[in-house]
Amino acid sequence: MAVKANDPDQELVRRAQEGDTQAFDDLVIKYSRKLYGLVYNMTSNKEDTHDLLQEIFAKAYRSLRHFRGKSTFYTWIYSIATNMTLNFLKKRGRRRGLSLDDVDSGIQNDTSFVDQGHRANPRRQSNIHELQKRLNEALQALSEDHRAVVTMFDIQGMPHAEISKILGVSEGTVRSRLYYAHKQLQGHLEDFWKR
Amino acid sequence: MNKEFQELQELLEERGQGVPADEYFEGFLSDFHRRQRQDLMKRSARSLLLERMGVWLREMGGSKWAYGAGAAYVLVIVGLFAWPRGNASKEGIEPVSLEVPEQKVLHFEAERSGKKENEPPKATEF
Repeated sequence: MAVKANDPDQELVRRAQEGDTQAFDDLVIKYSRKLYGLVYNMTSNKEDTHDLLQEIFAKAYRSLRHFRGKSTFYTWIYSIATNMTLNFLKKRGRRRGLSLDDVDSGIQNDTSFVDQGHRANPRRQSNIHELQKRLNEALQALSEDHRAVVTMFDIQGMPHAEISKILGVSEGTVRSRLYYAHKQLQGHLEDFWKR
Repeated sequence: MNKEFQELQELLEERGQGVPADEYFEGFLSDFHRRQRQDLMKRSARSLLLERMGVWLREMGGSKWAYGAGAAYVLVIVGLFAWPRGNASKEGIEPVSLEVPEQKVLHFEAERSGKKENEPPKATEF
């Protein structure tokens, strides 16, 4: 096994590959929050997110012994999560189109979510639900590939280079998808801003 | 960067700050263990083998084509040798015999116009 030398998860991965289930649990605890954000912002549905996240970790567990460390564990598990979520969205789209049952009203309207963002800004608090609702609709109107780059770059704060490795596309493609997605999102929110 | 774009980025960043409460993630790990146990019981040995073969093939990268071509070649060769040969005659095709067919003696009828039996026919009669 040759896990990437600068991988912070090197030791946990090595132990998990040798059959230490506690080490894999530690990896689940470490990445479940970040991956939840990725999957939820792409699916906008809590039940789907929960099931998908379970499947993502199950797949990672089964495939871990084949992980050769050509990338970091973080990039590897993000690639699994992104591919599985994109496949799920394509299947969901083919199955029934996008119905209101599939999409929650947004993280900010969910009482089980802890939002530390807009409490400090009372001026925006009055508009925030309406804006986030519109943003949610606008995100759902994007293609799955565009939503993926917006989720990773704007929502999760990942650099272009990391996103390009995860998606297996060039950095230029990531930038152009972001540019197009931002234009679309701005277009959706334009009438709200003009009020 | 215009004001709207800046506001859009702030809105998107805020979405990243919304996370489920800690209890959710504690329950998530327990659910993961429960599903793993169920999964192991449900899976047949065959599906596990197929999945592992799939993972193995995916992780072989470019060399999988060489392995695939080799496997296809072996299958074709095995198929050619294993193909039953006895069914050719059933389809009405007789195997070619190397035996020389028996030669028959030709008898020419004697001319009724009074020729002798052992007299050879004239060349013009052919």
